[in-house]
Amino acid sequence: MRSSSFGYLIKEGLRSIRQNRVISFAAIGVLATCLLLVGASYLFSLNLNSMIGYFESQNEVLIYLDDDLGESNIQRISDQLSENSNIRSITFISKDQGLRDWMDELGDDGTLLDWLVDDNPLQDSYCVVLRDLSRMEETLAEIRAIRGVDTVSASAEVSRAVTALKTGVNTTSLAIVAILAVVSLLIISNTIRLTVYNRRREISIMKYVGATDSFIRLPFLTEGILIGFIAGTLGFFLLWGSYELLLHYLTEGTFDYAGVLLGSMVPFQTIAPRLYACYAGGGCLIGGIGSSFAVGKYVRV
Amino acid sequence: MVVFEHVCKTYGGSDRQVALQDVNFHIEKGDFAFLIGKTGAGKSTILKLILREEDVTSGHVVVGGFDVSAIRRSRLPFYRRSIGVVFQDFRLIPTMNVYDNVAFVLRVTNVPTRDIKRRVPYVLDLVGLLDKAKRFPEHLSGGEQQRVALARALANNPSLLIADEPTGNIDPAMSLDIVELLTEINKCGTTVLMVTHEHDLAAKFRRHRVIAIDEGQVVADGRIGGKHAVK
Repeated sequence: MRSSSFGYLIKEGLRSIRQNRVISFAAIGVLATCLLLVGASYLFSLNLNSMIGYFESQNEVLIYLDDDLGESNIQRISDQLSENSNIRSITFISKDQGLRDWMDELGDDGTLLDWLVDDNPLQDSYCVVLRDLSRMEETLAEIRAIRGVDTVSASAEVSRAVTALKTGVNTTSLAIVAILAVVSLLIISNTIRLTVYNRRREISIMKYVGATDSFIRLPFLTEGILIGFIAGTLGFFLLWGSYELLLHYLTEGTFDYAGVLLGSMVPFQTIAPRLYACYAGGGCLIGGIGSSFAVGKYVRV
Repeated sequence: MVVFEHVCKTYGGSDRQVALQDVNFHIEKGDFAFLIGKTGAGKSTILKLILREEDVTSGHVVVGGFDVSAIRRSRLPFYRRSIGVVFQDFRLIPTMNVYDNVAFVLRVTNVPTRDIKRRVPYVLDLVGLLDKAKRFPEHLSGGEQQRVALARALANNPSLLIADEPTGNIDPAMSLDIVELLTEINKCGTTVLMVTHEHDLAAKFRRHRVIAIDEGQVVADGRIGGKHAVK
């Protein structure tokens, strides 16, 4: 294709948007709203996962060891724990350290425990943090199977609740994204279909004078991609604005958990470049596919 | 140039409707032929078969030496570039001026811009509308609009020009002008096939050939008043 022809096709796409500006703007508006909702759903899921991650990192498992294991066995247990892919970090707490920590926690009343110093009843222990709480049960079973481990203390209920919440949020987000993607495709497709209908006279002349199939389709494809791109860009900035407004509201807010929420919320700037690429690329893709559907059956030489 | 050999065309599935039955004619290169017949006689079907909008049920349609039914779908646009078409309702694009309406067909067939700038004024001059190049279709009379349509059909320098009822929407005086213009174009070597239901108009051009269609069959082929007028 000649470069002048390519320029002509791009110009035609823009001309068509201008000519059908009411319907094009309506499509851009609805599509931008759809993409805004997709983004909101994604950000909600991202932030919830970030909060869940915070709770996960707080969810420590304490592994109490048998008495009088000796240094080599304690080291062996540490090595075996390190081999477990679901363990993020391991901290050894000797029984003396455990007693000191306990006394520190009691503050001035710590002296009440002085009588235990010579005959410490506590056990040596490991404090481990897990990576994936959904695999907690199997990890605990693996830890219990290690020779020298006496008891393991962990809250399985919390892990189950967190895992269920994570799965629920992710599934819902995915469903929302899928539904809105289909809605967006239908919107673009119908907009282009209307343009094709409005330009049916031109199309019939193009067919008679020998325009190729791709030459007839390309301006509509350009139009769809442009609408998608504009809607993607608009949706991105709307999302950014709404997110900043929410952060502002949380900063100003006086309710008890505002600080906790703010602490674990993902700053928009850190995801902005990646998100914009997704918005612009996704918009173009939806526009392209939507217009291909629309043009397909109408423009056949 | 255009050969119809035992062409039959039937439309529809269960409710079959015969549009053409055993149609035979041969239009030589450089001929001017009227295709006449009343509404529903099969004239439009003949044009559709020439342009390969429809496929023959049986028989052969040969245009410019090519068997039209054998042309692959991907090659159809290139085949159609050798044919110029004029319609009864002009089919001009209302949002484009006269110049752009003509240039449009050259753009969609990938003609370089410098050639478009040379060719468009030439064909507009040929139909006598060079001075109205910047006007929009709505500011032209019916006859002028048909001239623009004619200029557009000629833009690609086709070897065959098909005019489908080109005088159907214009007054009788203008109709004569249009047929005279087509005759001039024909004199330059372009084969012309003009479809019309106006017998009187065809009768005014005794030098041209007339192919009469009725109920899907050729009922007369020759020159009006000539010895082969009735089949």
